[in-house]
Amino acid sequence: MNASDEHKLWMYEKMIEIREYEETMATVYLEGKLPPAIQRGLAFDIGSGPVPGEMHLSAGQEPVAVGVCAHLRQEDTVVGTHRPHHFAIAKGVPLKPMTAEMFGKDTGLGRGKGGHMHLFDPSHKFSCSGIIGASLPPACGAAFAAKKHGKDWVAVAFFGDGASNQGSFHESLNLASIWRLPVIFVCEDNKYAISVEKADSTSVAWNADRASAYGMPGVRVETNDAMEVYEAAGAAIARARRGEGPTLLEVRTDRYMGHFQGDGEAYRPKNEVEELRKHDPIPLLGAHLRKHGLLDDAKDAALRSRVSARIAEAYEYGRTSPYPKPEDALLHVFN
Amino acid sequence: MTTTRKLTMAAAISEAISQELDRDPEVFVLGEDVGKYGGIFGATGGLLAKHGKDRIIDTPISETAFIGTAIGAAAEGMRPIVELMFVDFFGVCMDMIYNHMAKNTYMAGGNIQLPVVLMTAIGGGYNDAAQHSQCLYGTFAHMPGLKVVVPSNAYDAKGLMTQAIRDNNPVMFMFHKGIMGLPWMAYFEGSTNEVPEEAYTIPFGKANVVRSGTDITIVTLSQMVQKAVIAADQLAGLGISAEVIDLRTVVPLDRAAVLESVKKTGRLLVADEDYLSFGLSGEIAALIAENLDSVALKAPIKRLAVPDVPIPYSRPLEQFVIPQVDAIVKAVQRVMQARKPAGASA
Amino acid sequence: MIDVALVDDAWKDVDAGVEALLDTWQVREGDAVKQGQTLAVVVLVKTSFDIVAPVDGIIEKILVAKEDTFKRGQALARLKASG
Repeated sequence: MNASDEHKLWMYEKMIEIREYEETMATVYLEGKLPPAIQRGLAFDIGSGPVPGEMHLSAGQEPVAVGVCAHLRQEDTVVGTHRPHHFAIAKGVPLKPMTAEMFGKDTGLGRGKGGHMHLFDPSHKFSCSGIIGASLPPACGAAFAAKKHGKDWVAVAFFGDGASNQGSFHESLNLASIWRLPVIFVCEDNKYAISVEKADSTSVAWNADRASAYGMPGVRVETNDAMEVYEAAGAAIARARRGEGPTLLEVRTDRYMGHFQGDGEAYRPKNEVEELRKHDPIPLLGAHLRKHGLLDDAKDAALRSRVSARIAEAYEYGRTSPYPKPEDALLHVFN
Repeated sequence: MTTTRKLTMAAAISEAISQELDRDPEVFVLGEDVGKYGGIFGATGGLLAKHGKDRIIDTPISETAFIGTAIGAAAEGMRPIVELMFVDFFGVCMDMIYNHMAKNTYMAGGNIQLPVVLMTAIGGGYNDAAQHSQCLYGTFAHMPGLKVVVPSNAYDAKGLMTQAIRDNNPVMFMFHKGIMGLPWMAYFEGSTNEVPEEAYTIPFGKANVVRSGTDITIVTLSQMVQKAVIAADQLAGLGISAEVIDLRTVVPLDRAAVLESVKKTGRLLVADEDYLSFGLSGEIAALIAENLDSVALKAPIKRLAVPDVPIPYSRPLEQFVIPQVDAIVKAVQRVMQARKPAGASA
Repeated sequence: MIDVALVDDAWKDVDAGVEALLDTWQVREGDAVKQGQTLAVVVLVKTSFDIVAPVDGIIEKILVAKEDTFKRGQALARLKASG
C-alpha cells in the first residue's frame, strides 16, 4: 500500500512538528533546573522550573507515530507510553491543552493532575501511561468495544522493546488473538530500556518473531523510515478493519535524546546519537518529496513556518494559562 | 575509634550492600538498571565495578519473573537483594510479593526461610504524578509476613540495610527519593549525615527520638522526619516543645516508644506522606485509643497525610496534598489550641 | 602554575549561564599527583566528568569547594608542574 501524496505531505509536516515540539521542550524543560538557580550542592533540580518532574522526549522516533497514525480516524483508539508526545501529536491531540497539561495548568488535558506521562484526550481517543506495558490491555478493551458495537474501528497499542518482556505483553497478545480483536500492537524498538540494551534483556532478536507464538502475523520494519512504517501499518490496520484480527508490528527506530531529560546516558557509546542522526527520517522523507515534485524550498519554508507558529502558540498558552487552585487537588477522584 | 564521614543516604545504602556482598558470597543484587546505571536512585552506585556482573544483575522489565526468581533463590539458601524501581510498580508483581514472599514461611509452618530484601524507591514532592510518587508502606505493612523498613537518614539507612540483608525474613526496604542526596533532586540535608566506615546494624522495631519535647509528640517516618525536625525548630521559636519520633520500621512497629512519648506529652500528631485513610496513621491512632486507660490525652489526636487522592502532577496541587513543613507547624498549633477530650484529666 | 578546569567541549550543548557542580575532590592541597590521575568528579546537568591532572605536579590550591558550583572556563584548582 503506497502512501498517497496527501499522506506523504501530512507525515512530513507532522514529523517536523513533533521534532520541533520535542526540541523546544528539551530547552524549556531545563528552565529553572540548573545552577545557579537551584539549591546548593545540586547540578540539576528535577522538581524546579515551569515544567517539573520527569520528561521523556521522542526525537528520532517520529516515523513510528506518523506511519501508523496516517491511517487512523478520530474514532480509532491510540494508547501510548511514558514517551507519548509523538503519538499524541500524530493522533491529533490539540497542542494547546496538551502543552498546558505539561505546564501543570488548569487548562491542561487533565487540569494539571496528570502531567506529561498521563495525557488523556477522549475526543481523540488518546491516552497513555507511565507504567511499562500498560498500553496493551486497554487497547484490547477499545478493540473489544468496537467489535461489540459492530464498528470497523481499530485500536493501536504502542510500547517499547523493554515492554515486550512484561507479562501484560504476552497476556494481551494471546487474548487479542483468541478473541480476534481489531488491535495493532506496535513495538517501538529504540534498542534501550533506560540503560539496558535489547540484546541483554530479550530472548529473541526480533520481537516480531514472538507473534507466531500468539497466532498472529508479526511484521518487521527494519529502518526508521516513515513510508516503510506507513506501508506495514496500512496492511495491519486494513486486516483489523476487515475483522481478521490483530497484528504485531515491530519498528526499529532511534532515540536521539536520553531516556529522560537529564539522563547523562553514560551507558551509551559517545558518538552513537551523532551517527544515528545521519539517517534522520525527516530529511529522508523530504528528499523523497522533492524528488517527486511534492516539495520545494518555498513550500518547505511555508510548512515550517506554520508549524513553528502552532508550537509557539501552544507553549505561550502553556506558560500564560492559570494554575488550578490548590484545593482543586481534592476534586475528580470520582465522577 | 570508629571513623565516620558524611554520606548521602544513597551512598550509605550502596555501602551497606557492598560490605555484605564482601562478607557473604550468597548475597547478590538484581533489578532494572542496577548495574551500569547504579540504580535509578543511586542505591547500587559503584557496585557493578566493585563486584562484577555475576553479583549485580540487570534484569529485563519482568518484575513477576525476577522477584519470583529472588524468592526461589532465597528458598535455596541465596540472599537476594531485589530492587523494584518505583514502589508504584508493585501492581505488576504483587502476587509474588504478597501471596508468596509474605506467606510461604507461615504456610510452611516456619519450615522454610526466605531471606529476601526487596528495596524500592518511594515518595513524591518533585512532580512525578500519581504513578511515580507514592509511599505505600501502609499497604505493605497491612499484609502479614513482610517486614517494612523506612529510613529517614544515611546513618539509619546503612544500619537498617545491613540488618535487612542479615535478616532471614522478607524485608521491604523503602527509601524516599527526596532524601537520597542525589545531585539532581532537591533533598533535605538532614538526611546526609555521619556514617561509620565499618559495618553495623540497627535493630528493627526500635524507633528513634530525633528531637525531645514536652508539649506534643509528632510520630513520623522517612522524608517527613526531616520536615518534622524543621517544623519543630520553628515551633520552638513559637514556644512549643515538640518531640519527634522517627519510627524507622513500620513492621515491626515500636508501639512502646509511641505510647511512652504520648504518655509524656498528652498530645499526638501523626505526620505521614502515605494516604490518610485505612493506613499507618490510623494504626497509630488506634494504638492510642486502645490504651486510653494508661495514656491521658490533653487534646484529640490529629493526623496529617495525603487526603485520599492520587498524587497530582501540578506543583500547587502536589504541594497541597503532600504535607509540607508549614502544614506540620499549623497542625501542631491547632492541636495545642484544641479542647480537652470529654472526661480527660487536667 | 597550571589552572585545572573542565574541558570546554563539555559545555558545548549547554545554555549560557548554566553552572556545573563540584561533586567530590579525590585529592587535597599539597598532594603530589601524576598526569592522568583523577583529581575530582564534577556533574554538568546530569553528566559526570572526571577532572584529570594534565601533567605531574603538586596541588597548590583548591579553588572550588565540594558542593559548590562553577562557571564555564572557571579554574577549579591550581597545579604546580614538577619536573
